[in-house]
Amino acid sequence: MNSTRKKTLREVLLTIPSFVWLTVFFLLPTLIIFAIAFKPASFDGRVADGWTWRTLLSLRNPNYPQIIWRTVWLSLATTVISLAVSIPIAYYIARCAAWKRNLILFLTIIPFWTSFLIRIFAWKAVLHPDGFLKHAMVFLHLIDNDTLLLYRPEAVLIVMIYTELPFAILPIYAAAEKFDFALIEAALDLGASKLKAFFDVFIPGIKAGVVSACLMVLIPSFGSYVVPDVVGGLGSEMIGNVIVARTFTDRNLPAASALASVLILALLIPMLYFLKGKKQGQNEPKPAKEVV
Amino acid sequence: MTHLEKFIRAIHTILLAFLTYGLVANLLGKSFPMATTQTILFLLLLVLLSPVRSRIAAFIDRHQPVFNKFPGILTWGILLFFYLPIILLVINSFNASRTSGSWDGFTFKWYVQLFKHREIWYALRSTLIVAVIATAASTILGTLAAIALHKYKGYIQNAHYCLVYTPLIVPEILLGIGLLLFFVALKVELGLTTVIIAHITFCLSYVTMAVLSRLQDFDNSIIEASEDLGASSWTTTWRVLIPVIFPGILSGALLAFTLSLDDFVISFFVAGPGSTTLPIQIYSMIKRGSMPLINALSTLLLAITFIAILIYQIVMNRKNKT
Repeated sequence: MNSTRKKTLREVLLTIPSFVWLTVFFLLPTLIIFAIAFKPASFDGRVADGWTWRTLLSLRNPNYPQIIWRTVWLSLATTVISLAVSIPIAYYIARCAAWKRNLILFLTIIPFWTSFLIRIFAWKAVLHPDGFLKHAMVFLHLIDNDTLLLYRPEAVLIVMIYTELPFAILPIYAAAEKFDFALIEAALDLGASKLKAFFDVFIPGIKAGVVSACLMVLIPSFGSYVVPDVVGGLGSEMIGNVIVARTFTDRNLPAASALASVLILALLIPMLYFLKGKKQGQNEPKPAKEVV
Repeated sequence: MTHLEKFIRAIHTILLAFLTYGLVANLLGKSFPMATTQTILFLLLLVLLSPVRSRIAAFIDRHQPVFNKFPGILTWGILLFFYLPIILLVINSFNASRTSGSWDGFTFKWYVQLFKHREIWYALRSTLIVAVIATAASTILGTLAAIALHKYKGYIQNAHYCLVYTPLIVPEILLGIGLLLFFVALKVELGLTTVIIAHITFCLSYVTMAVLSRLQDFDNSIIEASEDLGASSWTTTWRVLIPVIFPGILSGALLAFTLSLDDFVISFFVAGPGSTTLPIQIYSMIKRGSMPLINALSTLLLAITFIAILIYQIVMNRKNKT
C-alpha cells in the first residue's frame, strides 16, 4: 500500500512540472484564441470587456476567400512538389555508398541548423531585379526586362519548397533506410518493370514516411508567414500575413484571433491524424526534427 | 481498406479536383508562369495516378540507362538548389557593389560597418540571454517529462504525451498568437521574460522527444539490475539512468539552444520594446533593405554554424571510437 502510494507520488512529481507548464503556456493560450474571437476590440489595441458575435462577421471580408484559396493552393503545391522530389532522393540516398550517404545527409541536415530567416533572405538576392538570375533570364529572352521575379506567388512557392524540402526528405529517408531492397529485386525477377517496382513495391513500403513527410510539410505551410512576407508582394499574401497584419498593423486582436481560429480548425484533422498515428506505434509518422 | 488508404485516396481525390480547377482557371486566363507550374503539376499528378502510367513505364524501360541515373541527378541538383543561394550570399558579402547584379571588387567594408552597428550587438546579447535560460529550463522540464512518459503508462501519461507532442506539429504562428493573446488577457508587460517563457514552451517538446528516443533505445534491465542489487531509486536515477540518457539530454539541449537562437515567428509575437532578439533585428533589417549588411551578418552566422557543426561531428566521432 505504502509503496504504491510512493510510486504514485513519484509519478505525480515527475509529471507535474512539464504538465502544468504546457497546460498554462500552451493549452490555455490555444483555447484563448477561440475565446478572444468572441470579444470586441478596444480602441487602444487591447481586448474590451463583454462578448460579441460581431468579430466573427469580420471574417466576411471580401478579400479573405481569395487569400484562403491562395494559402490552400500554395501549401498543397509545396507539399506535392516536395514529396515528388523527396521520394527519388530518399531512394537514391538509401541505396548509395556509405560515405556518399553520410555526405548527402550531412548537407541536408545543415539547413536545420542555419537561420531560417537567412535562407529566405538569400533568395531575395537571387530573385532581385538587379540579381544575376534576372540578368541571365533576360539575356536568354525567357522574360522581358519589366518582369519582376520577386513579389509574386511563384517566388513564394519556390522559396516555400526550398525551406520545407529537408522536412520532407528526412522522414522519407528514415523509412527508406529500413526498406528491404531485396523486395525490389524480387519484383524485377518476377518480371515487373523498374518503374512498376518503384511504384508498387518501394512506395507502399515507405508509406509511413511519405505520410509523415506530407503532414510535416503541409501543416507548417498553411501557417507560413515569413516567406510570403519577404519574397511575396501584395498579390501573394497568405492567411499568416493577414493574422500578423490584424495583430500589429490594425491592432485588432479579436479579428486576428477569429482568423487564427479558422486556421486551427482547418488544421485540426491533419493534426489529429498525426497524433493518432503516433499512438499506433510501429508505423508512426515522425516530425522531421525528431529524425535529426 | 485501412484508414490510411482511405485517407490517401481522399487526398488524391481532393488534389485532382483541385488541380483540375486550377487548370480550368488557367485556361480562362491567368499569368503565364503560374499557369505553367499548375499545368505541370496537374500532368505530374495525372501521370502518377492514372492508367497512362503503364505506357510511360514501358517507355522508361526502353530508355533505362538514362532513367536509372535520374534519382542521382535529382539529388545532386537539389543539393545545388539548397546551397546556391547561400553561396551567392557569401560571395556578395565581399562585393563592393550595393546590388548583387554587378561585381565592383573585393571589400571588407560591410563587415567593418557591421561591427559599428550597435543594435546588432544589443540584439545578440538578448538572444544569448534568452537562449541560455530557455535551454537550461527546457532541458530540466523536458528530461523530467521524458522519464515520466517512459516509466509510467495510463491515461494521465496519454494526456501528458499529447500535451508534449502537439506543440511540435502546430504552426509557429498559432503558438505565437496564442501566447500573445494570453499575455494581453493577463495584462502582462511584453519583454524579455515573455520571450523566455515562449521559448521554454516550444523547446520543452523537442528536448522531451530527444530524451525519450534515447530512453526507448536503451535496455531497461540495467535499471532492474541496479534495483535488484539493492540501490535506492535515488542512486539508480543518478548513477545509472542519467548517465545512460545523457547523450539524449545533450542533443536535446543542443537542439533547444539552436532553435531558441533561430526562432523568429514566435518571438516576433511576444517581444516587447527593448527585447529585440537577433532574428527580429535581422528581420527588420531585411524589411528596411540594408542588404549588404545582412549579407555580411549572415556570412558570419553561417561560418559560426558550420564551425559548430564540424566541432560537434569531430567530438561525436572521437567519442564513438573510444
